Amino acid sequence: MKKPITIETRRKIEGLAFISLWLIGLALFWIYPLIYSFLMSLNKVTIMTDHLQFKFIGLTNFKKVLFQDADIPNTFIQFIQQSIIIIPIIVVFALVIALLLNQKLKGRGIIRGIFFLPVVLTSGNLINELVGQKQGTITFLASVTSQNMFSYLGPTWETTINNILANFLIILWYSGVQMLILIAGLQSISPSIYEAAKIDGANGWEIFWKITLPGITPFIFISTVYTIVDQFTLTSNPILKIVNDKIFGSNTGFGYASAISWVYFGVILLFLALSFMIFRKSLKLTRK
Amino acid sequence: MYKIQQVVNHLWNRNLNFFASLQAALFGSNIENGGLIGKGIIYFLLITFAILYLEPLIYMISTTFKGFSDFTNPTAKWIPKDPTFVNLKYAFKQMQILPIFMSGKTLWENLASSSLFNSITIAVPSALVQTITCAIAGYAFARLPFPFKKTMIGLLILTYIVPPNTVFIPLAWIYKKYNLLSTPLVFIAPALFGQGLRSGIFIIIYMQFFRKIPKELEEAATLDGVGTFRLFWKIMFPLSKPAMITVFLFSLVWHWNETYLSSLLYTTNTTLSVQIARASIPVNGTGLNLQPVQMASGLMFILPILIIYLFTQRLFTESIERSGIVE
Repeated sequence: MKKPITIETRRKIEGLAFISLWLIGLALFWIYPLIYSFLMSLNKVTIMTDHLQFKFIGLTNFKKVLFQDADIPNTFIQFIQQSIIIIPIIVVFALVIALLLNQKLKGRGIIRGIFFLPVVLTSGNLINELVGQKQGTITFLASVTSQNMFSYLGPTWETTINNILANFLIILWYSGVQMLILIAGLQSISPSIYEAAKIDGANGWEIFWKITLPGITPFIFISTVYTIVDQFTLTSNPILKIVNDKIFGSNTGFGYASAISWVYFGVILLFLALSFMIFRKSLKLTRK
Repeated sequence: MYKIQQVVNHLWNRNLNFFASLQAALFGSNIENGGLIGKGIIYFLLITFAILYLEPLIYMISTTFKGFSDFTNPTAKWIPKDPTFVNLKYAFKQMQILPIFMSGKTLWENLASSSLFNSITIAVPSALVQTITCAIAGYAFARLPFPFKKTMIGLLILTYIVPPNTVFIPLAWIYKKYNLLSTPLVFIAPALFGQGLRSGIFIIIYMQFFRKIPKELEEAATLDGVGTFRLFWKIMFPLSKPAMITVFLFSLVWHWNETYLSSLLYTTNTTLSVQIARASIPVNGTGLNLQPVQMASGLMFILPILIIYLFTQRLFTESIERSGIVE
């Protein structure tokens, strides 16, 4: 006699049916290419007419990328420096605008619409053209770059900082989604906490540091993660450009390009781990 | 003497009141309702930032209509004195917006010579497909039990974090093998399986949305003998309208703006987002400047999105709060 199927197993089967589409997609469009690209990075891949020829060379590609390539290590260092500065700028700017917009103001919707507008406009080539025409900057910041103010930091940091100043406005353009996340976070703090603090005689400054900021720490963390992923997948990103150049390069090919991609992914993970470490303490505190 | 004292006292008290109310008016009696000065400062900051924010856009619009003389004329920085359409006309031609019909090709191949056609055939179907498939996956993640669910949620977040270029190289090879390059299928096929452009975010949006719907609703439906599939199609999916709108709009915009993958996967034809870079180099002798032509092509590219945004601005900005991406 067959055992009747319990409700739980039936629910599980239904759940599996719902997720199966995504699972198949995961296997086909993510796990399979991921493994494939990892294998490629360990091989010298030659394109034949109808197939790819693999020749196992171990970690040679990675060694070449990290130590022998003429411009990849420099590009990576510059990109990392740039990200270290840009990511906090974007999050802090989003936080400032979110705090300002969280007040009861007339025309709040319109102003919010303006600050969100760049989210729908930030397309790779368009941004490149605006930057090319020097529209990516705020005038007085651009003037700073001509004064050699950061020369004491050494040439690499100097170029990085000057680069950032020259594109400052465009950098701020990437804060739209984060701003909305933070506004939603600010609104999740219940008004009664503010009232209680006021009765206890706290002033605005104290309230900001003791209530508002701890209350939205998880949202700041989400915004930071979003910013990191967003910045690392931009089309204007110099490393993606290198990957594209190397794919069909004569002595580089798929294997070499895959190795760069994996190093790049490692850098992203490093950034995410770093932001997690920074926020871990405060995230735990708020959970309690 | 006593009387004077009384008057002085009275005045002092009144003045105190006056100062108190003045202070309240200027600095606010509490934090949420900042006083006039507080509000003034906030408005000042917001409006300054907003103007800075919009400057490139305004520059783009004004430069588009600048002829040769206006472009070099510093007095016509924002408003061209002699507005002209030559830049727009030139950019329109160069961007291959209209298809070129050639005999011996199928209708689709002919239409695919238009960059506008390619952009639309990528953005609209992919957005529609993602709206549905991400909802199915999001519902499963939010409400249904299945084996290894925790691991799967971890993988879901990983799909969002791993950059597309890491998985892209083998995929490009596979697409090439099956002759899928330069067809919208390179975007639609992954979207069909919930793995399209930024699908991770969209699934998380749906997941958070479905989590908020009270469980009683499902229990009642199950008691009435409604199966899970019908429950999803007839009740849960239609209920998720706010999340649906968010996902559709963002998917549409992000596909439209997508440059990296389309520049690599569209090898024979191009999309608008790729074409704006190629189109904007005016040939010598046309009497056109590079910058106005670039801005004209950029303006044409963003125009559809800008129009959509004008009408759906509230849906965009309120949707993130409502659909609960945060949490």
